[in-house]
Amino acid sequence: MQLYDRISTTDNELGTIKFIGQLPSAHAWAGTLVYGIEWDNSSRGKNDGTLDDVKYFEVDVIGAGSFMKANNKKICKRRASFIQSLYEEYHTKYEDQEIRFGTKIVDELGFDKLNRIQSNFMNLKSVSLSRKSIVNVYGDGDESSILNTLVNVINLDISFNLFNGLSVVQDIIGNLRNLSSLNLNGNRFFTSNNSPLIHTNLSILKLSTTLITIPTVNECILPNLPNLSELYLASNNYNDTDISHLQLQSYPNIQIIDLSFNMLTIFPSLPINTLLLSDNYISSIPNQIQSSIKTLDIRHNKLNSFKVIDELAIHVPNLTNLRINKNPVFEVDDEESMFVQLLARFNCHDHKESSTGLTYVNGSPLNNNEIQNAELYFISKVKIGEYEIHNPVRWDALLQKYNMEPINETITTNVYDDNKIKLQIIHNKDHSIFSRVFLNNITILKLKGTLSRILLNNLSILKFSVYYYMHGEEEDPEAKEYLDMNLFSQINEFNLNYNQRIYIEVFTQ
Amino acid sequence: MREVISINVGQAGCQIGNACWELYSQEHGIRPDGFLQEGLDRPKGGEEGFSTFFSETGSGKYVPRALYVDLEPNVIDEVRTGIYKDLFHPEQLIAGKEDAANNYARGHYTVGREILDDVLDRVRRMSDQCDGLQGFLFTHSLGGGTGSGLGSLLLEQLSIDYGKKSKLEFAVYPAPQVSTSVVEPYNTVLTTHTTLEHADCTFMVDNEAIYDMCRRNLDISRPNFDSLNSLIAQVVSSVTASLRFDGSLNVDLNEFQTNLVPYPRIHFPLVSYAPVFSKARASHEANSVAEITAACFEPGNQLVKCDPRTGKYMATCLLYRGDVVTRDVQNAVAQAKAKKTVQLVDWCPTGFKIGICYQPPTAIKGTELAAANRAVCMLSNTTAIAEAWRRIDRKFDLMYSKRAFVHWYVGEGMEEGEFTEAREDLAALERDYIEVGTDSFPEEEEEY
Repeated sequence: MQLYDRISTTDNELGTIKFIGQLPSAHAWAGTLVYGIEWDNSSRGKNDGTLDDVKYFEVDVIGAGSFMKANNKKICKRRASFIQSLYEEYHTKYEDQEIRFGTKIVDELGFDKLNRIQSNFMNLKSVSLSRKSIVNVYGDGDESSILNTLVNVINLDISFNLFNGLSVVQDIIGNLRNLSSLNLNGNRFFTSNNSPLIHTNLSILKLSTTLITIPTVNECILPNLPNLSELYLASNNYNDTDISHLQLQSYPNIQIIDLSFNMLTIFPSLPINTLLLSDNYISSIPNQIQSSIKTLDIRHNKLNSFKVIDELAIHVPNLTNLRINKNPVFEVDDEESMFVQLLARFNCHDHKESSTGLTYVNGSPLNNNEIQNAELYFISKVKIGEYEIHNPVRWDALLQKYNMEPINETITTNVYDDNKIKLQIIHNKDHSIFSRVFLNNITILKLKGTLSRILLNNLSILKFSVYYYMHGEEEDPEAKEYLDMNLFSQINEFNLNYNQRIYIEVFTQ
Repeated sequence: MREVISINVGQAGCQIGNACWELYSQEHGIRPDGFLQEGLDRPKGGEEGFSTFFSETGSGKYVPRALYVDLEPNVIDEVRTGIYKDLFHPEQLIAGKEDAANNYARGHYTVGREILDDVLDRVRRMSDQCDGLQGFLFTHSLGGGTGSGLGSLLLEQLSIDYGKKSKLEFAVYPAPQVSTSVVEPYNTVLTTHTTLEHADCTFMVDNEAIYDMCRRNLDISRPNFDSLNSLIAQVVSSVTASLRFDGSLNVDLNEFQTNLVPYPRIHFPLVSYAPVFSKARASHEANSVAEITAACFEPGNQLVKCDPRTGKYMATCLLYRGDVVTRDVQNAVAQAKAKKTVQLVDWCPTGFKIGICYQPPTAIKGTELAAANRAVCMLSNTTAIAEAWRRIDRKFDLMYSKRAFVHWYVGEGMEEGEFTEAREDLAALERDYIEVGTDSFPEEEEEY
């Protein structure tokens, strides 16, 4: 065994040897050969490659390391070749095992026929050799010509084997001319053993749970697979910086990227059609239009306000299929109101009539009735102030669609509660509208503090000013009155209406 | 040879029919207009199997051997105007003008009777085109008016006209989540009573179970009928795969029954299907033969809500599809056997069959269900399914004890006696299930 060799155990765990040697003489294991192993399943590990304060090896995932005696019986002896496994799996003679359920014999129909067909490798279209402890292509005595008989294989699954480099994989797929889908999940690819994958037909490549690094993807995967359209990179421990280095720009064929179960916190900017981002930690959408994305899966993330959802609608304008359930923002509401909010905030269309616009939400196709219901309900809720929308363009479009007037301020004046007042805060930079109910007797100091915290990224309250227009004469410089002449005056000292517009002016140096 | 005619009755039946034919035509490489996809010189999956479900016209177009029947025009009009409008011949689409209003009596006695002759006529013409018709495949709901009323009427007539031909049913069992009417228990009990001796084998599909599968496995937050039907279509396709492709098991509809139906009345096999996962998750879900086989024995993958651990299996068929190796299957079944929860009745000598069809399942575009390399569909005749009958009987009793809504049925010329008769028949069915579940040789009390 060498460093970076992969091992499997009798309890179905996979790991990588990261240390071979002996422990110091003081240790009870002194004198026996010891392997330091990093486990693929990090919960199987016991430490970080450190034993008695001595660091023996580095781990990629914290807590995934442990030590084992080299002669531990748990380590599987089997280290097969691809050809050997192929023979074992597809070339065996049919044996009637006579499985019995109580008194009943299980009837196996046509098994011998199937075996006959499969044992001629020219007939195989799909080959699955998952978890077969394969380390290399040929073992002793394997015929190298066998690979040439696999010309018709379209679909190859060699996931969760003991491969530790891409060069072995290339040796296998180089001969499978018609291969279009390759599953390499659960193997590991270390730099020293990698060579570029070269194949003209391969279109689907699965590299989930391989911890393959982004530089390796850029150098060895993308350049020589001209037909590649789907790339799966789920659970590879990527963070935002890793993904920012992913160079997809020159590969327009790539349609689908799967980055689920990683550690992203920011919505990545990638020029592709379908982006799968479920089970990350995404909470913000960068201020940048991503017009290529049509299908987006952003389930189980950390989207926590409808402001972010509105930003998503603005910055990813061409969505047709969206999966967004199981985010914290929806946790307070029931499913019905989540659905209503989504339908109204995005530009939705009937799935039968339109090929543009959002037509599938959370897996359900939409129809006109549902959309109309949701939009009208949403408008009514916004008007009474229960929902907020941070997307003025969408809001105007909604009002226009149903020929409605913008929010009517007169009816709602102070009808609700005497000691509360609802204010609409308008930022002078992007004119976004934010509304919130305040207590009538809080000081301007407190108001500005709240605004700074919510809207302005904790900007010092001395660096911005708030004002309103008296008597509803909007935009009239005569009527403009600053609220913060005296920071300790209370809101109710001013003549503010319910739903009064308050403007924020950030000073520029 | 060995043709099968599909008859889809009522709204649910027609919509499931749509989903099924869309899937079938994709599996066989047929375009929505009925011609072969580009690059194919013959349909995928072997000519012989293919001709059981499609007929070929002189112009090289393929037409499904299917009939759509509904008492109101809405759903059929959707077929007539939808993408698949050219796939069907106008003669195959029969729509009345007045609907059954969720009323079994209207479907069975008044409105339904009026189009019966027309339907039988078209069935006759379609069967005349067959060399050796092997039987009929019905899809309908048990809860709706047309599906229950007209469906059972057609089944009755077909067993008079085509005596020995087998009649298989896919019947949608009503569920409160996606219910459209309160009288569903009435319709279900009445139609089950009428068809009990006419249908040879009925695969029940419980909307509640499918709904839960959509929510749990596919993560669809608000499943609608489209989501449910595409999942049902996938299962129907798996069951019929062995008829349509060169497979190994059940090349004959009759064999379905011989394998699965020990007594004529006990003909409601439980269907389970695995794997069910969404496209977005497909790349990291494991679906080895062992895993999908084990999943089949889980209640979560069943199409009817019941607990098979409380019942006994009389017969089981495992139908595998796709990239499957015989040795893996043998190991997987041996593992399943090791589970204590799989109990079989002792009086039935055979009853566990496995078949493999090496055509993998296909995913319908625009649906959530992912295409897997392999799938398995388990058909098992288990006594646990009696639970479904008990549930519906209880709901029936609740309403019928007060004679609620009965006047709608009587108003259409039905006699009230038919309610009691149907209910008694179902009670007898429940007892039958208890009886077949008990061991044939009870231990003798020892005496000294």
